[in-house]
Amino acid sequence: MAINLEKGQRQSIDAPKFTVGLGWDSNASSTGTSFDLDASVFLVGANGKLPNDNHFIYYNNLKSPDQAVIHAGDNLTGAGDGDDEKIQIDLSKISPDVFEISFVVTIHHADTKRQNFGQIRNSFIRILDQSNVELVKYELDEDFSIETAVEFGRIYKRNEEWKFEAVGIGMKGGLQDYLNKYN
Amino acid sequence: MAINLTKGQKIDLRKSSGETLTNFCVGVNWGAIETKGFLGLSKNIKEIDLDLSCVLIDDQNKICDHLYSPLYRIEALQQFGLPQGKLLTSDGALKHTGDDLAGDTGGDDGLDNEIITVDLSKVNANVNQIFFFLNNAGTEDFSQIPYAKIRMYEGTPTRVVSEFASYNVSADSQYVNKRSIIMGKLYKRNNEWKFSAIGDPTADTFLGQTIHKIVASYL
Repeated sequence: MAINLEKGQRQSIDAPKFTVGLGWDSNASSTGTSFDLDASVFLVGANGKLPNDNHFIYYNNLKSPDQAVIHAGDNLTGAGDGDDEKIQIDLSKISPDVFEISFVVTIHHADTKRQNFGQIRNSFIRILDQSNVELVKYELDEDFSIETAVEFGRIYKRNEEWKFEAVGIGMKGGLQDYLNKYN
Repeated sequence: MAINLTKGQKIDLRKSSGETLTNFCVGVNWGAIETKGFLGLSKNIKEIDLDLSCVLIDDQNKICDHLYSPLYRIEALQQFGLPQGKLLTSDGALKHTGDDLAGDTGGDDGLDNEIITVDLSKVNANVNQIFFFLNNAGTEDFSQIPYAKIRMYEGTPTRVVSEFASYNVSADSQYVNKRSIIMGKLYKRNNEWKFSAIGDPTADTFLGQTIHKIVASYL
C-alpha cells in the first residue's frame, strides 16, 4: 500500500538508499508510434542551479560524479512488467555541493508525436525504499493526463537532514524546460 | 462552461455546481461530405452512416453488456462471437436512441446524430468501464468526414440543457483508411466515474473488429 502523498506534502527520509521507478505499458498507439518515457534527475547546488552538466542524470549521462545517483538505463518502449526505468539513489554518497535533488519524468518527442501522459496506459512514477515498499506513487496517466512532463518530487537538505517533498507539478514542455530552469 | 477535451485527457464528472454528473446523454455528431457538383452549380451531399456503439466491461475485464444497432446482421456478429444488437442495457442504465442513417446535411443542426442516454446510478455495480466507439457502415474514412464529435450533456436526445464536455475529432490526413474511432470511455476509479478521451482511429470495417481491439489492447 503506497503512501500517496498529497501535493506539497513533506516527509523526512530516514534511510539513505532508495529507488525511483518509472513504469508504463508498451501499447503502441493507433498511430503506430510507441511511447518513450524518461526519468531524469537534477542535482542542484545552493543557488538552485546545476554545478555543472554532469549533475544532470538522464539517458545520456547515467551516473553522477559522486556515484550517489545511478540510472539503470534508458527504456524506449515500456516493454516488460513493473519498473521500466530505475534510478538508484544513495544519499550517503552525495557530494557536499548538492543541496537539492529534483526528479522529473518526460515523454520523449511528445510534441512531434502529439502524445501526453493520458495516452500512456498504466504509467506511474514511484519511490521505493530498500525493502521495496512504495513511499510515494503518482499515476501519471490519471494525475497528469494532458501534460507531457512532470516534476514529481524533490529531496532537499534542511539542517543536515534530507526531506522529500511531493511536488506533482506537470508541465507542457519537455526536458528542455527543466534544463532552462536549472542551468 | 463546457470542457473541450484533448486526446488523452481524463476528467472527473463534477459539475461547476459541485454536484456530480450522473444522468446525461452521450451524443455523437458528424458532418456529411459535401462536394461541388457540375460547374460548381449544385452541391452533392454524400450522407455518412456512422454507428455509435458501446460495450460495458466488468471488474474481471470481460464484456458484460453492449449497445449497438440491431440492424447488424447476426451472421456477421457471430463470426466475432457477438450477440444480436440491442438498444437498452440489461440494468436499464444506458439506452441507445437508434440508428441515424444519414448524418447532418446542410451543416451542423445542433443536435446529435446518435445518442446514448446514461444513468450512472443504475449501472450494475460490477461494471468498471464503458467504451464508446464509432463505425462507418459505408466506405468513407475519417480523413473525408468533416468532423466527428462526442459530448456529454444534460438534457434529452432532442433538447440540450447544458453541455458538460465535448471531444472533437476533425478530418485529418492521419485518418486516411481509418473507418472507425474508439472515441472514449467512462470508467470507475476509486469508486468514482470519470471520462477519458481516447480518440484512436482504427482501420476496422466492422464493429466486431473494434470490439476485439478494445478487449485486446484497452483493458
